[in-house]
Amino acid sequence: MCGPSGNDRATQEAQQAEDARKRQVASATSAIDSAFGKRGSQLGDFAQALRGEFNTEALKQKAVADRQLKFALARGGLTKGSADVDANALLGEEFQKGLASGERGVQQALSDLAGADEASRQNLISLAQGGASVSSSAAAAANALRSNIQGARSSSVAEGLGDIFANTRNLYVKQQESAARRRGLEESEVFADPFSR
Amino acid sequence: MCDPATIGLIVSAVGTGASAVSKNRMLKKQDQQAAAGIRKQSANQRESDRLVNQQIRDLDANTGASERAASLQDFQSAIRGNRSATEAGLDDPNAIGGDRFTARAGDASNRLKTAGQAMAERLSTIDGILRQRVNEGQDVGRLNVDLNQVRGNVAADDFLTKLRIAGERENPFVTGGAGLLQGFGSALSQRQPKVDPPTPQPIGRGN
Repeated sequence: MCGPSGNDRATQEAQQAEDARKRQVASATSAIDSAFGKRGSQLGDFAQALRGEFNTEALKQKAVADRQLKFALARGGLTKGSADVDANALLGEEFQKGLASGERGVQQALSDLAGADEASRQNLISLAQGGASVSSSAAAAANALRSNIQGARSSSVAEGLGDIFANTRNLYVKQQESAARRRGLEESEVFADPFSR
Repeated sequence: MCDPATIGLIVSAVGTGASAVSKNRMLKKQDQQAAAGIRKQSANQRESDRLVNQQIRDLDANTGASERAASLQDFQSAIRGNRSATEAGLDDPNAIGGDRFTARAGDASNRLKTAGQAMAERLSTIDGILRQRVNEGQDVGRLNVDLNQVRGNVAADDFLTKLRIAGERENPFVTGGAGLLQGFGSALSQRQPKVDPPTPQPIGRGN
């Protein structure tokens, strides 16, 4: 009675502490999974907003490019000709490529965000499992990774689509240059013979 | 009854018993110290659990709405602050553009406002979610600092517990006395009892 049983208080305390630790790990892991599980709709909102931003930008560029192309073709006397068809086909192709590029950006951003959330989830589970004994460097590394991802994503969102109608715009620029050249020739003729007008 | 061997055995048994009692008392005290140390470590574990659980609760409660609202306000202020520059070409202070220009300029101005608001909402949704993650990353960083403090307490308590356990020794006087008794008893029990030499009998005298 008083021999070995009196000397196993430490064992009993250790057993109780271990049982409590296991219960805490189980409940914390479940709570973490539940908290991150709720973020599905938030990721959907993020993708939708990003897609909307890219699409708005693409449509705005398309409207400007349509207008410029229309005037460029008219100025060159190419309206309703084969050049008109080719240029509009190129414009449509570039628009499609721009939309695809935007969607790729959306998917990439979404993937990065989900990856960062997953790293964060695992990090928190490690903290819940290890508590005071977990390696702080591992947690710090996960945290740093997360910050890097956020930084990269922010800049990519800020960069946007860029100029998606580079080729079509080239046509417009060439038309503008040709128009300027024609005006220059006319002006030089006037200069050479002031009474020609 | 009380021959030296018996006395030696009794003395030796008393010595062994005293040694056993002393050792048992030391083990019990060491056990108590270990139990106290484990209780302290459990308290440290509870503190770290509390910190982690708080972080989980914050994470669960944070929908990102406050970050989105703050971001929306920033975008709206930026747009409102530059409204006059944004709509610079759409006003007609000298009214030389005619009714049609005025109507079109008004429509364009309204479209700009709507588009600006829509853009602010889209961008704040994106930035709000990113801000939320960045804030959470900083919270986890702070949690790590707090947990490091608990880790320091864990190491200090562990060291102190080991010192306390090592400090629980047997009473040297009891140990020494028990050893002496055992030795004395052992020596006493091995001592040969004093036997009287047999008295010689006369041989063949009567014959």
